[in-house]
Amino acid sequence: MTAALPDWLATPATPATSSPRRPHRFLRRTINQLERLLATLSEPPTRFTEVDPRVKLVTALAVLVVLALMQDPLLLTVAGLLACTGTVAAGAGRALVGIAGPIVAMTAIVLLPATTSIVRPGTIVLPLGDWAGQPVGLTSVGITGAWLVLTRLIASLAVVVLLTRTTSWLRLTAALRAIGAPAAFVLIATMAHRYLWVLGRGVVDLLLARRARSIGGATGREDRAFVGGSVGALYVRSNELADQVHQAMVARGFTGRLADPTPRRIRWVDLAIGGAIIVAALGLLWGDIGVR
Amino acid sequence: MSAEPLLSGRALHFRYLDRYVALDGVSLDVHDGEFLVLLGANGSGKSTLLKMLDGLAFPSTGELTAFGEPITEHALSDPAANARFRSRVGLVFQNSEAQLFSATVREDLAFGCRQLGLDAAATAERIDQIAAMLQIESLLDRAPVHLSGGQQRRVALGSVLVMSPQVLLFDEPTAGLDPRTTSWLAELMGTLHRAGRTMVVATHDLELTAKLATRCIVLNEHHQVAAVGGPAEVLADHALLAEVNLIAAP
Amino acid sequence: MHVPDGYLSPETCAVGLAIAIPAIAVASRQVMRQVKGRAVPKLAMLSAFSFLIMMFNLPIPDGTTAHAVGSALIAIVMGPAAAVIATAVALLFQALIFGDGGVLAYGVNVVNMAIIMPLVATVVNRWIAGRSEPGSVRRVAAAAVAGYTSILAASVAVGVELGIQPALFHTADGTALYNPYGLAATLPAMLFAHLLIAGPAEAIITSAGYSFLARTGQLDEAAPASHKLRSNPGLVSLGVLAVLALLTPLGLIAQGTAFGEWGPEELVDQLGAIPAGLAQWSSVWTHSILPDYGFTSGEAPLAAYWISALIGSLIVAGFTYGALWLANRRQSVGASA
Repeated sequence: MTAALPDWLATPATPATSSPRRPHRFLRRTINQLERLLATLSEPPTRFTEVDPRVKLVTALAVLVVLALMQDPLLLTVAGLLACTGTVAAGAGRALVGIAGPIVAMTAIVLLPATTSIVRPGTIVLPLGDWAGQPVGLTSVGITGAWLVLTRLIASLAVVVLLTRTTSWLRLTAALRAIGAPAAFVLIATMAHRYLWVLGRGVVDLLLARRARSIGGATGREDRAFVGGSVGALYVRSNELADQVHQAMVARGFTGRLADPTPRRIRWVDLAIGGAIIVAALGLLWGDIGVR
Repeated sequence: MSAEPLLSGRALHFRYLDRYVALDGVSLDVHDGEFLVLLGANGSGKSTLLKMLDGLAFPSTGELTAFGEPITEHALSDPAANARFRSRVGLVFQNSEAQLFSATVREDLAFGCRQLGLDAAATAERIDQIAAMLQIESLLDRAPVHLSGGQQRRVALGSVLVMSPQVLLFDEPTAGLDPRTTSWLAELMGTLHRAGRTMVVATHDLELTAKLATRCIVLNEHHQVAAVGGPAEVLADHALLAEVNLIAAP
Repeated sequence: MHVPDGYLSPETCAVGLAIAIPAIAVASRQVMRQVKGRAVPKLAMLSAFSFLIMMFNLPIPDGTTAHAVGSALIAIVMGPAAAVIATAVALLFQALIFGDGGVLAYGVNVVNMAIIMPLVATVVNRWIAGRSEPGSVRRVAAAAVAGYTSILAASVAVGVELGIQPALFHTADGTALYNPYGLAATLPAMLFAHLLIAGPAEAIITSAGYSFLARTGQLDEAAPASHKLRSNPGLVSLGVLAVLALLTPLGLIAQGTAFGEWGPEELVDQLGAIPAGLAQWSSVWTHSILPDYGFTSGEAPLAAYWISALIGSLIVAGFTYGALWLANRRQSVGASA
């Protein structure tokens, strides 16, 4: 029944002798990133889960707007410290460092030239020397401006991390719906989140299988064809899965109409917490406008 | 078994996504020419162990060596070490779809040949031979995504075999196959073993184990090694098999 | 490409949301009609797909790796409306799960990557592909060029959004409140990065993905009809609105109104004749459309500019909408006759 093995399989194996090129890093990088995604997706919310998600969402948005409106470096720093403290108290300190670390580092590097008189001319507070006959140095307007962007960025990320790490995706999207996001959009976002896990694991296997056979013989062109193939195969699988899910939904009586998840009553204590945070934020903003 | 093992793991620990324990202090050796079966229920860590033996997952603690060289993420970043290791060990995934990413079956089979540095003529010859052996000649110009599960399994097997690895790792090779394809695959695995290839098969298929294994390692649901021994001895131990959930409790 | 919170003024973010939200609504209505019933699971899948594409590191010819957005590919395969939704949902994940792109800046990011990109990709792809066979070399080339130009268009949009911040939003002493770099820095920086790195990555993923789907026969069900864009009057007019909203502050800066940092001559030097034309365009609105509102007297030049620009943009977008609506109507009448 089984055909005979070809010679090269019937005789003992010999390890590769081809001169290997350095394998592309894109596989390893993509696998690492996808595994980080899967780890994040499988992470249950930490603390403060009992606070109503609608209150949390509205409060977070209000605080983000206040942060965007503030202009005083000192008060903005205070706001940033408060936001970070809240995030750490929620047990999401590690998540904040993981998420904000690279973004903040990038931003700091990008903003560095903007602290100098070349980009932001003004009173030089720290001279760095002369360039083309002009004195060059760090200016106070440059430093202040860069500090504003950096602290606002950190504070905003802390607020987002605090919101998303204390609220499950399902409750977060329900809250989005409750504050008026389009129903179809919210339903799609909710379902897409569930598919991410399934598809994400499939893609990791696809890349691992490829990595298992990569010994550097492929050219850049073949690497790019592989990426196209992976994307295409992923698309095909997404479509098949979508069809199956649709059939399962129809089988359970889905008619194309979307029902809102039944909202819980908002507790007074939740409103009080949210209100207190918003009042505190507005207080900072009031102080900020006062010192202008 | 005095000879140096081909693959060797010592006290391997692994946490999937840094959270879920998948292996808890597993040690094992894979010897040249043996047919080793990793027995364990779903979720016992068999797949993780195979990925580790294939250099795709790396232990959080513990040591892994292959052909006398340490296998770590760092060691495999050296192109020569990577090529030596990956050309000698091949893994057939449980999910065949995962291995197929080309627009045609022919291209998928050619991938491994290209990696070995074979020229176009040698590649074409090797593809023809492997397709004949796997009875997939008629599928060569079709898209793998459109094939049936059994056909995909054959193509996935072919895509690993064209690289002619010395150690073949199989993850649940018979899961989801019809009886005819199952017996065909078992026969092929036996043939490969008799031809001198080292086989490591993760499965909960006791029939397959009885037919082909030369040695068994049993993993329990706590992700540890529960027993090591010959197939006759392991398969006769009903208390053990029930404890690790491979047969229903008597 | 993903703008985080902190770089953009709340005003800019508000304009972004004001365009993004109706665009998402219009696009979901469109897609719901296109694929009746199956739309929800399908779009959810496409969104997950879009998000995963953004995680791919692509090997580009110079040996480094880069990320792609993928909305050009979805636009070519599934149509621009589906691409708008899928990319917008993917961006929501990125903002909330990974902090990639801000929450207030979400609207702006949607405008750049989920509206401008798929619309540009659709137009360019149609223009180059013409009536050639699906899967032909010309089609694959069209996909590559569409991917490249669409990411370039998005990067120009990002450059403009960031670049207008220091001129428009600063304190009396000249401290930039948001992104501190002007257009002279942001535009070349964005263009450079995208011409050389992100552009090729997008071209690769668009053409390779398209070619795979064509070769494996996955395109038949999607097969975007040639009039698809034209049958999207709402989406197209929102796209037009997005472009005008981007250009409006440019005109403002070019006029030098109230902000001395950029004289018109200076900006013309930097950017060529475009803003000069815009300045003229904006004066058409201020002088001929709204002459009796007292704005021209210079009491409130800034407010006058914004209001006239807003009205002008709405009129142009409305005109686009009307023209497309009429064109579609005539077509369907012709078809039924």
